Amino acid sequence: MELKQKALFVNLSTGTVEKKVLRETLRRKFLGGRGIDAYILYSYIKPGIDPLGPENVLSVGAGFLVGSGMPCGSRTHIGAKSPLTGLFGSANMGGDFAPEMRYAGYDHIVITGKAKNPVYLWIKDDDVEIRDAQTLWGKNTWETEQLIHEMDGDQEERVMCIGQAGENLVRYACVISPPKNAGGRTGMGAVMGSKNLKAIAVRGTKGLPVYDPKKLLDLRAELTHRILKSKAMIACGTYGTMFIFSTANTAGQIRVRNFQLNQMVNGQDLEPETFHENYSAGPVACVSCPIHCRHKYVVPLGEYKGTITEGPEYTYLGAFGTEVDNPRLDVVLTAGHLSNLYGLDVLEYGSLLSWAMELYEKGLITKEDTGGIALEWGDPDIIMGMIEKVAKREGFGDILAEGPERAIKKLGEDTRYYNINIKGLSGLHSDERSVPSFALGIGVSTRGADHLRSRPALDLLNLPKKVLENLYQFEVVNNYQQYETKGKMIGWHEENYAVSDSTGICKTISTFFSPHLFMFKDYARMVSEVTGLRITEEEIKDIGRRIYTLERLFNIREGASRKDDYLPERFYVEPTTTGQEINRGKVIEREKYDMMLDEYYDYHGWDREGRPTPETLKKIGLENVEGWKLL
Amino acid sequence: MKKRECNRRPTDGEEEMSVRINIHPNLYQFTNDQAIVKVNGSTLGQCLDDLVKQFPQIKQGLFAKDGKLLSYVEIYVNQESSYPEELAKPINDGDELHITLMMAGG
Repeated sequence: MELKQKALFVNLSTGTVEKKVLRETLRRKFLGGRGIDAYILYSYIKPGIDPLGPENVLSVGAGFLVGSGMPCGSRTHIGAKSPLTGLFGSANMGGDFAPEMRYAGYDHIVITGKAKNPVYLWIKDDDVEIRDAQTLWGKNTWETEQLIHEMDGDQEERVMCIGQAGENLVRYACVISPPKNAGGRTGMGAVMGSKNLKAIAVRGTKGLPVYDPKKLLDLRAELTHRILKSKAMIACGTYGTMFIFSTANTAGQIRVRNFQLNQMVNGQDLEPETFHENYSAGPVACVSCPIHCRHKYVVPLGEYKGTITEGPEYTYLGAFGTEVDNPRLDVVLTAGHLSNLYGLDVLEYGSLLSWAMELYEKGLITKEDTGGIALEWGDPDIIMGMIEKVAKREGFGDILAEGPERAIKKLGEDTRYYNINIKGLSGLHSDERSVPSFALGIGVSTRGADHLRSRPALDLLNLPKKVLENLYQFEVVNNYQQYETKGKMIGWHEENYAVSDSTGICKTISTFFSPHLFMFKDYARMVSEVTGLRITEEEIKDIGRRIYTLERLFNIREGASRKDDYLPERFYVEPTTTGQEINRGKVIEREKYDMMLDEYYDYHGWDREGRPTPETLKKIGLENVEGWKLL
Repeated sequence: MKKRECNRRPTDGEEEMSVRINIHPNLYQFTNDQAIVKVNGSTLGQCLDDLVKQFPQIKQGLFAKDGKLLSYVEIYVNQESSYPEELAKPINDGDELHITLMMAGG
């Protein structure tokens, strides 16, 4: 069915639009979404280019199963060379944008060049126009969506856009599909801003042809039943992704005061039950999702008090709560809404602000650096107010807007030790010092210090060893504080999540949360039965490995190597001090980390510098990667 | 990490069973650092009651105020999740239980 779907190429410099059918051979290699985006970025981006220059390529991809009716098939992937890391840029969002793209006939929208003036891309089925957006410039994401609806006279079109942060080239500006769907990481909003592209609005009325309608409906019912039999998904549906906060905080696996503590002892207000009882106005869901992990809530404070919005995510609790030592949920909820309006990556902002607060506490920066602002822990005015300053690059916000590596250069090398970033991407609010597998996962991730490339949550659960070994098909050490076998575990999850992101099925229903949820064989079955493209479990494993390896090759081409796969120094030298007894006094042991790294490279078929070997490239069909035929 | 086993002797009138509960490491603080505890019971609820009888403090790590298992606690019986039967799930002699905590960490 989807084999006739197209990629839309839009050159903003020349104003030309071209449509190309996505070949079946490409599907067999990369499926769609993140996978085909990886192919597009590797093929079309020349190494060494300025990510904020017109030569960068932005690819918006719909997963191969998006909009087909498969459970949780809603995800949009957005890729480009990252202006934050200089490496493979990759963001992913839920909602309903990608299904609408597919119903208009397009699985990928590839943007090149730069418009002379602000524009937005308007798509309605076969009609595509580059429209003037000068009246939208300076507007926040919600205002932008509403104005586009009014200008186009169509409330049904779906919009992804940037706020002021993207316009001002904040290096971690995100893409928002209102009200809260965020393609958050690696600065894809800044890439849009650099191209003078304020938004993409799409309306599709074609639908998707179905390969075998009865089989699709039967499979959908079977999989939905399986999802709703999972206790993790029931908890997620009740409390949202916040449901894991209590256990993580009690254990002592949360970043507090930047990286000084690993448990927030006064964090009761941040518990999911507090939100559920006092703030939630009911659950909502992305397209085709039976879980409903997000909630509506009323913004409790400030200029937008009383506005109904959606969220919050678990990560809000860290970025606006624990990392900056703020125990107030009303501040967290308000800050989350503001970030979405301005179009800022929540995780990046929280990590950088908490770093600046620690620098201020230690006297490494003063009011002279901050423009007279006292960066005190937990100050609601700072936490909420600095969002606007960063988005508009005002005062000290202009320094934080540059992201970790450039901000370190501005504030001095003596501030580096306190900054938590890997490959130029800030870490989230989890503290990985007591969980070596998690630490390795953020160390080696192709997009920097990020958990969604591999996090093997199953390692923490205390599952029966046989359950884990049946899943992984290799021996595992079933103890989350041990290092052995964790390299292989990370490699396995990287490949599984690469497949998940390329089908566009939300990884909430993957092995992220439960060993009984989706993995390779399930994705192979869905692709085969829904699209008619017969793919085996072994073939889909190879697809995951191919995608991950290609992202690695992109980074190697930009100069990355083994040296970039290590953790910030604090992980090795500062023991954890709080939380449960078994998680105290923990650091990541350097020698054992190296052992995990070697095991991880071996799993992928990479050499000791982390370069894929010629044999590996040949085995997964990437041996002629430099001479590929372009779309 | 400590890995000790608790071999409780049955009290008078109790029939000895060999149901073993693997404790989640984050709950060791409630079991005197014991990783495995032997219990009696013909349902999961009875087995957990026996666990709580031996280690009363662990109740707060397992049960909500309404007496149900906490939303993030999932018990495996052998290699299968006990959800949705949970406390009513029948337990046989020789079964092995695992207390798992859902804590994805981000």
